Amino acid sequence: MTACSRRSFVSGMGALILMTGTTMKSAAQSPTEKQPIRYAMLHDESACIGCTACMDACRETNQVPQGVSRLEIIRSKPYGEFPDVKYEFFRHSCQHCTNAPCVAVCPTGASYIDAATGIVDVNKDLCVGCQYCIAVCPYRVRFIHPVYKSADKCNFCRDTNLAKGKQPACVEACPTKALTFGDTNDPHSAISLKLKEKQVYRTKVELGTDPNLYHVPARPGEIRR
Amino acid sequence: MNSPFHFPSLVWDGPIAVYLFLLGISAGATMLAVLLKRSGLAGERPEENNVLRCNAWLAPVSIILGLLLLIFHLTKPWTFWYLMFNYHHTSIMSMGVMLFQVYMLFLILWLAVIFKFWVLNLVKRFIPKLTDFAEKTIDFIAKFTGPIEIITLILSVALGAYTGFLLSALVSYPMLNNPVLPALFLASGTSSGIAALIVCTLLFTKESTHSASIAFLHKFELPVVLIEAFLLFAFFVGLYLGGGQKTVAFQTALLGGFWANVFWIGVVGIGIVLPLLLNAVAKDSLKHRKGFMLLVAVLGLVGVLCLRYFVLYAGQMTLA
Amino acid sequence: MNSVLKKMMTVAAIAGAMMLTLPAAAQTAPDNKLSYEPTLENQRNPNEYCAKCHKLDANDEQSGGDLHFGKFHGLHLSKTNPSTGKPITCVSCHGNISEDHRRGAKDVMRFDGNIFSDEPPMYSVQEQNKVCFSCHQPEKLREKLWAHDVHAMKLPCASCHTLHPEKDKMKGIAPKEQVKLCVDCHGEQQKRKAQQLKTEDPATEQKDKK
Repeated sequence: MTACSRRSFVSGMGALILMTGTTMKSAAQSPTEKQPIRYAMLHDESACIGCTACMDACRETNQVPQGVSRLEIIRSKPYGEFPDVKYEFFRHSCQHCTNAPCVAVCPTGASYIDAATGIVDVNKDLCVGCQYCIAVCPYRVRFIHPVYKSADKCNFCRDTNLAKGKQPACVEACPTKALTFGDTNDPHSAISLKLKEKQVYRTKVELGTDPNLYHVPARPGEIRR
Repeated sequence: MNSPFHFPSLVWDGPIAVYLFLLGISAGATMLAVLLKRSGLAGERPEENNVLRCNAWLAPVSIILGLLLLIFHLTKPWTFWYLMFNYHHTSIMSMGVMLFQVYMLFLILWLAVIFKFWVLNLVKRFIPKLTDFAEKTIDFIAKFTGPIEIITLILSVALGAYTGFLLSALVSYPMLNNPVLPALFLASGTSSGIAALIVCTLLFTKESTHSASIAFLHKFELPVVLIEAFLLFAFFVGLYLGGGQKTVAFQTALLGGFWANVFWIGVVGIGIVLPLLLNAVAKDSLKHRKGFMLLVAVLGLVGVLCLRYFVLYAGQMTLA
Repeated sequence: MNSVLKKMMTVAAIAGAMMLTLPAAAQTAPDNKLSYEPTLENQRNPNEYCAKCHKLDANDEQSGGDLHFGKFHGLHLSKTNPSTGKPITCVSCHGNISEDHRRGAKDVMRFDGNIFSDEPPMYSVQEQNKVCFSCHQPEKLREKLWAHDVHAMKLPCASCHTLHPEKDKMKGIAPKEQVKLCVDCHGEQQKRKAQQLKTEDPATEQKDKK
């Protein structure tokens, strides 16, 4: 009847599906395709001495005003009797979740995941200060910057040290090398090797955030988080 | 320095609670007004119906007041318009901003159709050249009154539930991250809308307490309050049975402290039990006294305000 | 009857007067003490004996070094021993010398704060710190700074604290300086650990320095 008969339509569609189906599949598995960087950090609690040099370095490098903090080291209560007293130190900072709730709830898109690195960052000019992200973060690492009045948090020194090709300030400042930073998509990076070799844990994983801040527990036995 | 109104895990405070309250009123009032109009009880001249006239003020004013509160709660208030030009479908707040705008649009369209003569008089007074255009536009819109009313109704239901969805996205607070919350907010918003309409109508117009419109509104009161009570029950039982931090949230919120008192005395006592009791024991002659109806409506409003404050503050006390 | 009463009244009056005055009398007469404490005349000043060679205010060799152990302007000399109530002297911390003191015998306590030196110290950490812990309680130290807890018997108190100068370097130290202290020592410690590992087994050296 018409130029496009039912038969030719069906065979045409079949051809289209076959072509696109197979080419898409092969493109996804291409070995030459470069995977984006997925930055993550590992805090080795067994090496951490709680000196807080990382906190000072972060504050200085990123010009964080007093009264707020991008990074905190939380000291536990003492364990044991004098003189064999031990403390444990926990790094409290942005987890750069792969499934970040702060990015999902931001109404303007000021809170975003940098596709090239996986870093969760804030565009402070676009932020209106509704504080939805501050309320939703289960790790409680966000705050309103007293000067810019926008939401702020650790961004792995993306605009400071990383931009200059250095490691984040906290990593460089640590005297015991308790912090390791790198690309978990690269199987040969220092952090990938450490994550395979040591026993590590992340916090609040059950909330589905898929965080990228790993911890090596301070001592064997049950993790106290 | 920890107090019931100031504790470390608190992010959204007082103004947000009032905004939640005002939004519930606007959504609930519009919902009932549309239902009233569609029931035909307003008759041939809906623009003379006192309840509809009150809604014409109450709904837009309460939502605008609420939004103003919100705008000035932002840490960068003058950037609020960014919200209207950047939308993200994963953000309930962003979708809510879109919802407001569509709701306002349809509300205005609907009100323009009902109060056509009033609108035209205004236009004639201030921009006489546009009078003809205005009349033609409103007449055109009036052809779609039916669909507009249905859409406005749907939008007001969505708005009533929206604030519940907004809070339930907060995974960090196990009490708020709850599927019953949107339904609870819709029910309490509706009840506050009814109460607000009754208060406005009885205070600012000469509506008789025996009128058909008031009876219509009043008919909805009991079922809505009962549904609200049930939803509250389901909400807290769900928390209690939820285990882990959910159970902790239940205990922190309900078993003692300032907010537990706000709940039991304000939300349950003043907002639900007392109005039900008063309506049950009052004689017919008392029930139709203006003062009595106003009292019961105000008690209901107080209860819903307490509920908003309670859910917001107690909800933020427990972290995941 | 009258005279008996009168006699009784006078006895009572005298007794009353005695009861009232005796306590006052007892208080105002120190020579009536029932204890005996021998007091010594011409007691020597124990600091002076040490100070004769280690001049308390001089700059020469025996008083030299950046710890200027000869000079003492620090707080401790003005304090008293909490157990005895007597003033603290050189001997309180260092003990008494022996005949061969001038020939470098191991007699007095020598506090060695240089934990990174190649020579082992004369006295062990336990022996050195024992002196300090005879007065300083761990709970109070913990209140002052938690880090006391973890360093307690691992290194000499003298590695951080300098008692002879007027102001101990640690007193009123700025938080930034305190952090720098942690970083410097632990950094050095890690460096030495890494070097040690390297010389022991080169195969474990981390090639990837990223």
